[in-house]
Amino acid sequence: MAKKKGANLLESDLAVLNLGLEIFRQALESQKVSCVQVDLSQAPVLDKRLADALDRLL
Amino acid sequence: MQVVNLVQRNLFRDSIQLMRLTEDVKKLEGVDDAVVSMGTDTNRRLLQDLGLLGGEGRAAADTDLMIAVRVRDGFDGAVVMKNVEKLVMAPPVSSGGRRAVVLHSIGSALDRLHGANLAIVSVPGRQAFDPSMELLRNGVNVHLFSDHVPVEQELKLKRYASSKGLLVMGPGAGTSIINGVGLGFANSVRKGDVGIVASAGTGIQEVSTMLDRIGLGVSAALGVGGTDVSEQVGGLMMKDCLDLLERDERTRMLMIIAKTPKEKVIRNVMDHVRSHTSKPIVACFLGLDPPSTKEDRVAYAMTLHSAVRKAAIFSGGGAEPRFEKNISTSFEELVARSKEIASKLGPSRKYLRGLYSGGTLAHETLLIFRELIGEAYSNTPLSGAYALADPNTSKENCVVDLGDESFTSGRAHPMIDPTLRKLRISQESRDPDVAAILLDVVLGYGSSPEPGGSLGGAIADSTHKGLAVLAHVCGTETDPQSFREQSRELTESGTLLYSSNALLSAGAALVVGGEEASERLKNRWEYLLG
Repeated sequence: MAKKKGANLLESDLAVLNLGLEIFRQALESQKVSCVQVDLSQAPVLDKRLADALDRLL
Repeated sequence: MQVVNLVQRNLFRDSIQLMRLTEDVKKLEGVDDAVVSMGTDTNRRLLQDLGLLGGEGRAAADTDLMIAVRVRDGFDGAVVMKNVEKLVMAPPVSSGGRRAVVLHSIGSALDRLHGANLAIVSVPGRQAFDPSMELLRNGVNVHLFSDHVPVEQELKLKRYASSKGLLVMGPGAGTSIINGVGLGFANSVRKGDVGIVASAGTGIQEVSTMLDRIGLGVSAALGVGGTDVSEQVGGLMMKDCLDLLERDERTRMLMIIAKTPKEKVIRNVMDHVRSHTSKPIVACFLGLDPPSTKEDRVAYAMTLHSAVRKAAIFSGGGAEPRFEKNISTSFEELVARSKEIASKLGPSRKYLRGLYSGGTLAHETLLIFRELIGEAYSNTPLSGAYALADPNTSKENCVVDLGDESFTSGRAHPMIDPTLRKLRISQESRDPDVAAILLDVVLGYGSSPEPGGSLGGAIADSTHKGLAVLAHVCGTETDPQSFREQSRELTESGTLLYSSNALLSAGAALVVGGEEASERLKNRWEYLLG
């Protein structure tokens, strides 16, 4: 079962989390790939509950 | 004109944000020239070269943001700098066509993007372990672009991923292609049946674009990061990726590329593929000689050019003639072209200067130079005796990897930002001993939108001074920048183009190496380019 996951990566449409440089999100979007940008460097991440609450508002 | 430096202590912006801030500040009224950068040695040197370094900038630390501006005559410096500061100090925003939603935790991002199966991680390397492990625990494969991840952490991530049937591509993985989607610095190449596993980012770019030009395509290209083939990591992910491609029905041929691998690790990887795979294999271990015994389904290549030729032979169906027509050239043609270039150079011009953005391509050039004209100096040399004392100052025959850490600390990679390379081209062109400058112009997602045009001015200045500029464009017609368009711009600026980096390197070596180098190439043609 576990081994199937890697294989699925090659067979499925990509859905990507991008942590860091936005240039890579833009490249993915230009290729019509589903992508969510994550920025862990901003202050709210210091408090996980606050970060989650902020993300629910977005 | 007045030069003003402002320093904001302990303020970080990433390299892409800094490059874009620089462009925006240059557009402000009253600004003649400007650079916004982190206060690293490389960046202070850049400001010095541009005549933009002032007292405050000299005192900036790596963790400080430097704003250096030359104010046009007739403008009030204080007013101009107030506008500059306002622009630079505004919160960073997305520079895409529309404002992106930015989430602040992996948990909420996974809630938002159902079925997430991959993450690209490009945070600073020292901060990459925790989020990468969290992603793996949630069943998400990781493409780890970040450098400087401690090898112990790399091993933990890869062992965990391997136990769960997941991939960790990287750290330091510049390029992958999955399901036709380019990740990191990757090119737009056709889909096909060649599966690539590489510990060499621009190695993937070079072979995938050449395969594209001969009508072959890629089922997947998986970058595992340079340290995967270190003795500590032992090729762990390289073997997992090869297993994955063996199971992949679309993949009919395997290609393995490694830059400076450890011989013991490669022996282990090859033992693994012999016992765990059944498909034809092209193996290119740059810097390692192939084994003396022949193997039925394994072809060894000494260069990326040669690897693609061997893939064309394995593939059949007209790929080999297309390789000969679209990429290759004959020994005689290459010699004749080099003689013509040499005939136009002054007698004092005797050295080559490679100014590379791709580390694997720089390495390939060093290997070819060693075969034909002797070892060249470099910031990433083949042996310690040829290490440049100062990477900013070339010596004799020299190949500089401008994508190396010594140049990219606190600034964007040269594939994204051509500023450092333009300055270095100008610097080399002032040296009367230089015969030719070699450039790799790497296209694709993530790279500079107009590399040919942005380097054109510096190239034209150099050719007017009497030296040759030789280049290879690594890209495809469907890349965002267009292979044809960039080739046209480079040619118009006086650049002489070659269809592979190996041909560029061999051709350049013949320009300065004369008959002796020609004789060596004749004897090594099959080994290097066959």
